[in-house]
Amino acid sequence: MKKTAKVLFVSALLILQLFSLSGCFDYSDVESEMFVTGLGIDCTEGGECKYLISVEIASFTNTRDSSVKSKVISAEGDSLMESFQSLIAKSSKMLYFGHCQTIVIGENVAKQGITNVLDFVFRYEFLRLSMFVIVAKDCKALDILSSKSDGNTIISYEIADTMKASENEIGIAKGTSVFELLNQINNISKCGVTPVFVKDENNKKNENDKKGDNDENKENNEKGENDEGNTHSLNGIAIFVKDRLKGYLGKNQSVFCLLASDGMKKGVLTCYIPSHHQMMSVRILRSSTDISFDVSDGHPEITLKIKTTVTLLEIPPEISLKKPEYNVIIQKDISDFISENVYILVRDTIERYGADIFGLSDEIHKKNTDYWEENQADWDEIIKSIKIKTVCDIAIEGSGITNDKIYEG
Amino acid sequence: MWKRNNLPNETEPEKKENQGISPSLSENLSKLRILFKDNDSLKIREFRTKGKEPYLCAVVYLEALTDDTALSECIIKGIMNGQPTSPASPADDIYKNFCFEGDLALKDKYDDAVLEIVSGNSVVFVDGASKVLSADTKGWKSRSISEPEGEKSLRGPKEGFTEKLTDNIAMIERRLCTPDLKIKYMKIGRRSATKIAVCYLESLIIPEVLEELYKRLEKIDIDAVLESNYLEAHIADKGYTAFKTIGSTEKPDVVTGRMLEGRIAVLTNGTPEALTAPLIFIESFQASDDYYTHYFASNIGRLLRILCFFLTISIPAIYVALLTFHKQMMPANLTLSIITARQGVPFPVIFECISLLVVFEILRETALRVPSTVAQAFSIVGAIVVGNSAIEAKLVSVSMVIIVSLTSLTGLMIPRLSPAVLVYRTLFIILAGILGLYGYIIGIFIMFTNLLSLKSFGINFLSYMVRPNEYMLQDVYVRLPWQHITKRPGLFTHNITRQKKTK
Repeated sequence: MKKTAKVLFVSALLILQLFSLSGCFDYSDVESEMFVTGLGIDCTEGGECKYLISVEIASFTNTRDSSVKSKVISAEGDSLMESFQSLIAKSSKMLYFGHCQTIVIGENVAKQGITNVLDFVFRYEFLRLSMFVIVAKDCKALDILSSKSDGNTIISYEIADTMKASENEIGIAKGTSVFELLNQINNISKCGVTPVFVKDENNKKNENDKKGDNDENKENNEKGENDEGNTHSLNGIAIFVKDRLKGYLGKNQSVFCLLASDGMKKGVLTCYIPSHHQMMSVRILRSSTDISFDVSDGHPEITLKIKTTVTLLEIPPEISLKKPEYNVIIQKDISDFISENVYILVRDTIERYGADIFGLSDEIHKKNTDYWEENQADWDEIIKSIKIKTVCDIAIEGSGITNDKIYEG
Repeated sequence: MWKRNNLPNETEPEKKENQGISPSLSENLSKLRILFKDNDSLKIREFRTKGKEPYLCAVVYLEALTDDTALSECIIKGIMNGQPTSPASPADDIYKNFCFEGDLALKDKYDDAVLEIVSGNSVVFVDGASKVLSADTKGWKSRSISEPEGEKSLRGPKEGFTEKLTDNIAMIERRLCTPDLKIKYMKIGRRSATKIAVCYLESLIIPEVLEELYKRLEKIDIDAVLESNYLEAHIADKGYTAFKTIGSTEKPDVVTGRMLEGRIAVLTNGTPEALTAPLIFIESFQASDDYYTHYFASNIGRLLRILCFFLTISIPAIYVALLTFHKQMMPANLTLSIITARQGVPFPVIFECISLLVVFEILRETALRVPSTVAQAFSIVGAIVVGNSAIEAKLVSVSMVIIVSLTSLTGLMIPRLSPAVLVYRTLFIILAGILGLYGYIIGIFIMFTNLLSLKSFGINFLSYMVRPNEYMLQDVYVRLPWQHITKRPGLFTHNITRQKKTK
C-alpha cells in the first residue's frame, strides 16, 4: 500500500511538472510551417509611414533536386503586428521564425528610430534575440533580401555567413545581434553600431533594367529565377545615436573603429608606408585596446592604447626583412598609421555625429565614477572638446612563410 | 537430487509410494511391461550367467538412447561370462565381479530404476535380488563443438558449448585443473528430469550466494526444462524487467573467466548456453575479445558498446523530439536538409519512425527464421530494394532511413541488451513524440530508476558503474593491461587478489 502511494506520488509529481514547463505541447509537423530565414523591415514611401515587412522563406521542391531555394513575401500594415498578420494571411502555412538568422532594417526605418522594431522583436516570442541586425544603405530591406545570391541560395544565411567571416577573418565589421544592439543603445553612451549592406554597385545597370520586373514581383520573388538581379555586399558600419541612424562609416574606417573599440579579432589592414611611399598589407592576428582616462589641470584626457600583433602580407619589393633596420621602420610606419587613423576617426565621429561608439563614456563611468557623476549632465559637450591621445604598439610576428625577397632585381 | 513434489494438478499422474524392488524377476518385468505399455522403444533382454546355479538376469533399456556396443560388451558379455560366487546377494556379486562398466550403480527402489531407464541407462534386474544394477550405457549423436554464432571473437578460443552437458562440463574442467572446481548435478522438471550442473570455484564464491542459488533452484517445480531460459526466469531476482539479471554465454572461456571472479555457473543439459550469476550491468558491455586483444583496442570496443547502447535507445527519440518540438535547436542547414528530404512524405515523424523500426524488426526476425541460404538474399531485398522503393515512393524520408539504420546498427553491437533496448527505445520515442525532449528525459529517468532498483542475488545491478572504486579503474569502463588488473571485483568474492604485481 505504502509502495503504491509512493509510486502514485512520484507519478503525480512528474505529471504536475508538465504544466510548469511551457512549450511542451507546441507539437508541430515540419511540413505544416514555412521556415523564415530572414526578416526585412521597411517604411512605405510617401505620406504616413506604414510598415512593409518582408520575410525570406525557404522554398522546398518535391523533386529530386535537393537544393533549398528561397522566396520573399511582403505585406504592409500600420503596425508591425498588423503586417505580420497580413503575412500569415498571405502564406498558406504558419511562419516559423526559429531559424531566422538576419533582420534587415531599411534606411528609412533606421532614420526614424528603431525602438519600435527592437521592442517588437524583444516581445514577439517567436523571434530570436540572437539574430544579426544589419542596415540596408541607400535601399530597402526588401532589396537586400531579394538580391541575387553568390553561392548560398538563401540570402539571409549568406549575410549571416558574411558577418561571421567579417568578424573572424577580414575585420570590416563585427556582427551585431538584437540583444547586443539593445545593450548598446541602452548603455551610458546611448550609441550603437550595426553592419551595413548595400546593393552591389557593379550591378547598377542590371538593377535599372530589372526595375520594372521587380515592381511586379515585389510581393513574391523566386530567387532562383532572378539570377541576373542585384547582389549585395558588406559596406561598413552604421552609427546609431540613441535609436536613430546618424551616419555610416566606410569599410576602411570601420577597421579602425574595431581597433579603437577593442572589437577586432582578426582582420586585414592596408597601410601607407611613408618611408617607401608605398602601400602594404598586414594581417591583424590579435589586438586589444586599453582606454585610460586622466584629468590634468581640469582638462580631461583619454588615451587609447592599442596593442596589435600583425603578420606582413604584402611588402614593398625593396624591403628585406632580414635586415633589422627595416623591421623597425615598418613597425613604426604601421604604428603611426594606425594611431593617426584611429585618432582621426574617433575625433571625427565624436565631432560630426556626437556619437561615442567606442565605449569611452563607459570606461570613464567605470574607472572614474566621481568625475562621471560630477560631469554627467554636461558630458555631451565635454566629450566634443576632450583631449584624445592614441598610442599604438605593433608587434610583427613574421611575414607569411618567408622573410626573404623572392626576386633580387 | 530429483524433486518429486506433487502439484495439486489433476492432470498429473497419481503418485504412489516409492516401492522396493521385488525379488521376483518375472514380477518386475511384468510391472515394467505394463508401465511402458505402447512404448516400443523399451527393450528387455533376458539371459543367464554361467555356472551350476546361474543367476537369471534381464537387462531393460530404451533402444534409442542406448549404445548397443557398450551394453553388449560391458554388461551382457560380462554377466554371461561370470561365475556366481554369492547366491545370497546376486546383485552385489554382479556389481563387484562381473561388469566392466565404470559408471555402475545399485538401486533398491522401483521408481529409481524406472528413472534410470528413462534417462537412457541400462538397468539389470536379477532374479532373487532386491536391488538392480544401473549402467551408464547412454549413446546418442550430439552436435560437434563449433564457434558460437552469437559470440564470435577475433582472437581467443573458438569453441562453444553444445547441447551435451558432459561435453560442456569437460570444456570447463579442461580450463580449470584444480580440485577447487566443484560441480554439483541436479535434476529439474517432473517430466523432463533435465540434468543441470552448478559449477563454481569453492574458494572464490560467497557461500551465501550459492546457498541462495540452491534455494531458488530447489523451489522450481516445473514439468519440463527444455532450455536454460526456463531456469533463468525462476532464479532471477525480479521477474518483470526488460534487463536480464542473470548472465548467459555460449563460450566456455567466458564462463571460466566469470567463475574466476567468484561467480557461479549453471549448465543445463540440452542447452548450449551457460547461466552465470550474479550479473552486473557493465558485464553486458564486456566481450571475451576485450581480454584477448590489446587493451587499447579492447577499450575502444568497450567504450563504443557503452556509447552504442545510449545511441540506439536515444537516436530516434531525440530525432522525433527535435523535429516535432525543438526545431530551433538544430543547426539551420541541417533542419533545411531534413525538411527537404521529408517533402512529400505523408506521415507524421513519430509514425514514420515507429513504423520503420517495426519493419526493421520484421526484417530481422524473418532473416533469423528463414534458412541461412535465403537469409542473405532476403536481407538484401529487404534492406536495399524495399528501403529504396519506400524512399522513391515518398513513404519514408531518407533522413529517417538513416536514423533507423543507425539505430539498428548500434543496437546490434549489444545483443545481450536487446530486450531492454527494444522496450526503452519504443518508450522513449512515444514519450518524445508526446512531450518532446522533456518526455525523453522522463524516459531516461524511468530507465535509470529501473536499473537502480535491480539486484542480482542481492548485488546492485549498477555496481562499479556509479561509485568510484579501485576495481572501477581496472576493468569496468576500460581495461588496464593485464599486469595491472590485480584485483577481482570484490562483490562476488572475499578473495579479491587476482595476481601479484610484477611490474
